[in-house]
Amino acid sequence: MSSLSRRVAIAGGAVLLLGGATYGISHVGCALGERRAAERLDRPDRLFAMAPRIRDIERVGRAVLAGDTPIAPETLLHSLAARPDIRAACAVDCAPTRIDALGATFRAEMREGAFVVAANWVLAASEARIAALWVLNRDHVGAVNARPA
Amino acid sequence: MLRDARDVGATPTVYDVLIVGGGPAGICLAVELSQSGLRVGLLESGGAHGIDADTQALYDGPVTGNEDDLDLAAIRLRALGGTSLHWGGHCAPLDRIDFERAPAGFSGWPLSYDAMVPYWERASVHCDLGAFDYGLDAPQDLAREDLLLNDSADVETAILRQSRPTRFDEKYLSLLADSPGVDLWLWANATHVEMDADGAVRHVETRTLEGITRVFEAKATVLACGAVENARLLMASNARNGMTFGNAGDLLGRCYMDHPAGGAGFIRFDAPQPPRPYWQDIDTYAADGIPFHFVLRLSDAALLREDLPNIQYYVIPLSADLEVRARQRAARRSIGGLRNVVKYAIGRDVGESFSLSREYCAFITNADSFVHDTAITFLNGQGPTNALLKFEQEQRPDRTNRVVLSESRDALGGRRAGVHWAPSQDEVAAVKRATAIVGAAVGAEGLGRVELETHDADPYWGMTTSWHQMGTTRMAEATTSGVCDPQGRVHGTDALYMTGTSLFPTAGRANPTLTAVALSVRLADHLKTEVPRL
Repeated sequence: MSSLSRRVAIAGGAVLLLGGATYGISHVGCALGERRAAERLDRPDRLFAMAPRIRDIERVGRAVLAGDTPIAPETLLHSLAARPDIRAACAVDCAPTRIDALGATFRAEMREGAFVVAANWVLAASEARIAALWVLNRDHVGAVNARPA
Repeated sequence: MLRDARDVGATPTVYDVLIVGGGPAGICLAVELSQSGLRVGLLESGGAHGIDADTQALYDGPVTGNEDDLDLAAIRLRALGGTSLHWGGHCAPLDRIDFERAPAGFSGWPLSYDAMVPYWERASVHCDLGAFDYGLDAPQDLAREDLLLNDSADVETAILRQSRPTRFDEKYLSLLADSPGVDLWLWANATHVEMDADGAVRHVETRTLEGITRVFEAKATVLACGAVENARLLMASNARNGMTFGNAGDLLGRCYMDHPAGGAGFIRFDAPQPPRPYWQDIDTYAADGIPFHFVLRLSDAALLREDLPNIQYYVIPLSADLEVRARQRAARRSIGGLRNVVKYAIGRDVGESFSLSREYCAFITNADSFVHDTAITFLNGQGPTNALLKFEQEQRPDRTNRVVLSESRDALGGRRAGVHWAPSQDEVAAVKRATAIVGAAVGAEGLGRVELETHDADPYWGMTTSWHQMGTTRMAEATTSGVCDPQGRVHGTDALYMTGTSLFPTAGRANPTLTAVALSVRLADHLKTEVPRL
């Protein structure tokens, strides 16, 4: 009884240990994955669904890019990815739903005071960044690993 | 009583109060005093029936600092009624924030908003503005959804009341002529205020264009000639008297202010807009029949947070199709007439100016346009998709904007006023920032986007004068902070007063006439108690 109990205890402990280790490793792995996902957009090209709705997009995009400090595509992507609502919008397959979500993001940004003036247009900060990204992508196909949305 | 200064035999008496200038501020002061028992003399340079070219030419003078063709002989008028003869009639009080903050380096208003309210109320009667009510519940039948930017914390809607506009000469000429306590002297140009070294006014000298001179004596003298002439007359008199009254802070004539105005940008709406009360051809009335105008302004919180001068925007829809606009106007007149007839029929208040036949005929004669417009709107959704944001901005006091005595002389031998006026780069930056904030509010509400105007090649970003002259004899407690004390008395003098827009320490966004008249009403109350003691 006692040896059985010892074996059961050892086996049980091993199972628990293994399970705990599996959970722990998985947890760390998932956390890292989430962190990576938080820092980048998997489908930045999907943001271009908004392009037809951004007024004067080429002038706006070029004005953003011609700012005091040259902006690299990675910087634009990083800034956009910093907003959970933008990341969430990019994950949406349905383009009209994505457009609605991005529109809501722009409205929220303007309400929060996150707006810029580019090429004389008053725009949400993310809206201006998307315009810049769109210009970069147009000038250098694949610059943002993009494809038509 | 009417007196003609060109009549050699006309002799002035010694007055209790002598008012120089027959514009809105001077006339309303005289009217307020007319029943007081005080003997009042009101000196007007021009006549009682419009502009005389030779008299008006006295107002000519050099202008520097801008490319706006600012013409001193056009922006002010030298005849009974003064600038009310070309007044547009838009009225609003100053905002609370105008009294609660002072511009950097200067004192602000030495009065509170609440202290001004009773005088604005009485001034509203002079200006034919109905009730002193500028709340958004004042307009009849105004639905909240008619307004733009309802949910913005930074931008709000403000209303202006429309005076007829009152022509103060027409309104009060008979009253003044029939008043036994008032002598209205026409064609009497004040040329000099003779003063003792201790600050007592000995007399005011006048001269007609025909060369007839007089002196007028009074216990109290009030200059009510507008911001340019008030300063010029005191500067010229100081120079001749060898005095510096009102100039302890070197502020006499300085801090001349206007409301720089222009196109700030365009609202590009996402969808055609229904008729909005901001459109100039939309008629919105108070219960007492007074028409309203609607403007956008930055909230006090936004002005404080951003340290921006006050500003207001007219929202002017752009439509290339004049025929469509005309049809829409007629349609609105039709439905407005029907609405008023129904209100009359069910016994609701329709205001004093209501006419059943007029409203009924407006409904009938425009009914075809109403049907046509309703059908087209239903089918096509027509409405403006673009609107101009026309701004009028508070100009902060700047010592370099000023009235000076020029070297050129007028027909009476006096030195003409010269004005240096220029919008500053700070003002350009402020209007851009303010308009961007409006743009953010437009975007936040999902209405569309704002595109700023492209005036960057213009040194003043397209700003022009609003023909509002303010400052130059600003009121302040301290003798070094202003020219006049909070009552309007010139610092250092016994009983030389100023009234009108020259007293404004800051300009706010509001059109200045209502406050100019309110200051005269306030001064009248002061003189009624003060003068009998002199």
